[in-house]
Amino acid sequence: MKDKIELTFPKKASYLSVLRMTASVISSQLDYNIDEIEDIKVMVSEAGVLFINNVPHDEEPLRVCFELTDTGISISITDRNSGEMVVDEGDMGVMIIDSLSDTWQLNLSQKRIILTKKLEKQDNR
Amino acid sequence: MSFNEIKHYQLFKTYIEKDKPIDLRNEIFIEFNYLVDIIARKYLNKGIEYEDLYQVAAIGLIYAIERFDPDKGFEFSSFATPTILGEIKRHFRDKSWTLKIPRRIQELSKKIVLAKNHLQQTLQHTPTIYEIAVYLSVTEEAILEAMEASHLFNLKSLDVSQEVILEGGEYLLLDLLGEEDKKFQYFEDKNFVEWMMDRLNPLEREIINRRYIQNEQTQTQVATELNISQVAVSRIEKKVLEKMKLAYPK
Repeated sequence: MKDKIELTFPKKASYLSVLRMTASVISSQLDYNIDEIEDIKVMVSEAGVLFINNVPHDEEPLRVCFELTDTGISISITDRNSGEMVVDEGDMGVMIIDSLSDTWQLNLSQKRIILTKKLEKQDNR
Repeated sequence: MSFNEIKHYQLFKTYIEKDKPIDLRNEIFIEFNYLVDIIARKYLNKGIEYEDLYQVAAIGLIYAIERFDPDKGFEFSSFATPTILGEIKRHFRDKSWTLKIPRRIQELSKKIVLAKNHLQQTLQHTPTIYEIAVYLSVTEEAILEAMEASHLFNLKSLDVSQEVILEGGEYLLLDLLGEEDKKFQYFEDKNFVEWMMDRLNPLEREIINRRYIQNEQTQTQVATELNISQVAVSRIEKKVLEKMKLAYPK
């Protein structure tokens, strides 16, 4: 299975809840348990906050792409606004993402973050 | 026949002729009461109180009186002794094992004691497990099992005082029991937590520290002070605790 969903969201804090809900509905397509879905919700909204706080312009919407495979979900969020992105060392949001995701890549020049969450085998639960 | 023997013979004769009245039985009982005492004393210190032994032996004597036939030509005392003994042994068999052990093992463990004594004589050395097993024609495992079980004949009270000659003075058995040193586990756990904390990212460390180590704050307090959401605190905390559980040495 390899399903791809691409969405854009207005780059406003008030739409983060929509992004969170969307992420949870999409990830529930896979067999994640409640805890893992909570993790995904938190890390997606933290990634959203990261762009809102660190990229000054907000005319262009955030582009969010979900990729579902048999082994897990990969979520990439891209900010296409102009302006330089600077993230402090030890940023809270980054640490939260680091805790909750399996892998994450932040590309400052492309202003894109890619988060993955593996799907644990059912019988390991 | 001695005077006593004639007297006893007459006593039993009348007892049977009069269709075994209870007052006559009591009379005979008092006459032979000494047997009860002698036999019961032989089983002292084997895990049953003297009073209980006496009771059981007395019941044995009553059975013996009931069953005795003076015309068979035996002395009552030689008839009564095995009856009383049997009653006591039965009591030991049924009542004295603190833990109920399969009869097969109970009986085997008694046979082992006998076999050990016998073989010690014939072999001129303390018999090995193998020799006992061959002698009783059972497996060595069964012998070992029965030997182990025979220790359960009775349990020692932890309050029994125990003379410790080396150090002088009395100790309760309870005091001599070993116990796990909780401090060891405490240090191992402490070590583990420190090791784990080194492997967390700064935020995770901060949350665990505030929640559990330094000041046991609530998730909401931690979230407010670190300026993140309570959900994030909850998720990260759960995550870290799960990681710890996985890493904890079994």
